[in-house]
Amino acid sequence: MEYFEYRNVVIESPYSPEAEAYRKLELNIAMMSIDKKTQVIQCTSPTPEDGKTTTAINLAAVYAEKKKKVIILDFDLRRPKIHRAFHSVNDRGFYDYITDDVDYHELIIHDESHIDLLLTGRHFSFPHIVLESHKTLDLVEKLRQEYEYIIVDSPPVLSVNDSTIISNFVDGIVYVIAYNKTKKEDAKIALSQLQKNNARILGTVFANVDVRKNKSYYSYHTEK
Amino acid sequence: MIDIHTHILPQVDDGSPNLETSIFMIEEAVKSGVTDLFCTPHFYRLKNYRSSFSHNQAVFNELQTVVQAKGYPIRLYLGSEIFYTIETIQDLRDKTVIPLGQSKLVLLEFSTGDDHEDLGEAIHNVRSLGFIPVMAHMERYRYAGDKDWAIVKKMGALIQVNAASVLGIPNRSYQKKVLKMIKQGLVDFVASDIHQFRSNHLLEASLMIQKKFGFSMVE
Repeated sequence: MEYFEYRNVVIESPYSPEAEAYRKLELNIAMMSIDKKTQVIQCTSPTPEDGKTTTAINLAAVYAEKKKKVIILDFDLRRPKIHRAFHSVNDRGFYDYITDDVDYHELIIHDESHIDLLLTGRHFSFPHIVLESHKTLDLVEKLRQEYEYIIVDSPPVLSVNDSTIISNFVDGIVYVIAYNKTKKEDAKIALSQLQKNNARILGTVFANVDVRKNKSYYSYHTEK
Repeated sequence: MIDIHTHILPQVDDGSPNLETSIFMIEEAVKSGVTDLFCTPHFYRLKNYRSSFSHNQAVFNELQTVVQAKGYPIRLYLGSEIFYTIETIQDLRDKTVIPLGQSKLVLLEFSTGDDHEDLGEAIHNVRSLGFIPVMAHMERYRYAGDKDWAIVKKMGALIQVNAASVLGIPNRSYQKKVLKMIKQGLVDFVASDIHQFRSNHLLEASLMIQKKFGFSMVE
């Protein structure tokens, strides 16, 4: 049994240096999208608990703050966590769309943060087969017509193949590495695995850094 | 004394087989000093204990009428002991299963073996629905140890242990776990989980805890 706690600093402490770092991430993604559209963004990392979900929820909050229509898809079908971050019940979601043909609009949660969510629902027996299916691709294509941004939370690259499969239908990847945690070798191997699959890596988020240690550097925006 | 976990309601699960036995069990509870007693029939699809809330309510009303007529100094409440599956969430929404009396406390049990549900997910889902999970006989889940107990509490669930386990019945391993939980201040309820006409062990458990820890924990 594990204890999970996710902080959405963009919502909870909007003037913090941490929140500002996520705004910078959004800006960097926007700068990379001048010539190539980046609408569907996957968050992944080499190993578990590197900060994928925290990055996904905070990036989504930046889009919501900018009044963009945004949805998070929890495509970590093995160890879903988005419901934990949003304190939502996870008994209905993507599973019902895949297995029972439920209209996905009925399954989307409209969170008070103005971030929409598609949770996993029940556990899947064969997540990789589901992620490769036409039904999944069809869903993502339809959501592209309805949302300005789609953030996809996904499993760690080195644990299972799911993230590589997901990388085929997203516009880019935010690669999350945890300071003082992710092993350098793991970070390299997972990155090359994604690159071999022709994934578009938008950049790396260096998570777990204590920004307050660089106080003078950040004091510019914390004085607000 | 309050007993939050009993199978006293007749003919709804593997507990009391008839009204007479239920009355005997209530007499026993009164003798032990129980003033408030929750009837918590199983709701356990796999074992086919599916007695509906409306049926339980009817049986409960009948039992209460008899108890009141006999003038026993005990208050009865209705609840359920729910074997958690993902369907429990919809059952709670539909009121197929109910919390303990008028409270927000929901008594949940889990498989004791390896095929168990993720306790953390269960607690999260039930909490997100606005209820407070009470983990029934926490000492029985052999896959859950010290660290898990602490997480259960941190996630906002409460812990119930059985009075028999406090006394080392049926085995010492449950007793060892229960005493460790009590020592760590993690136990919220000691309850009888009584199924048949036998001692509910509440008085003995209460005295033992009093002797060992200097305070009473049986509620």
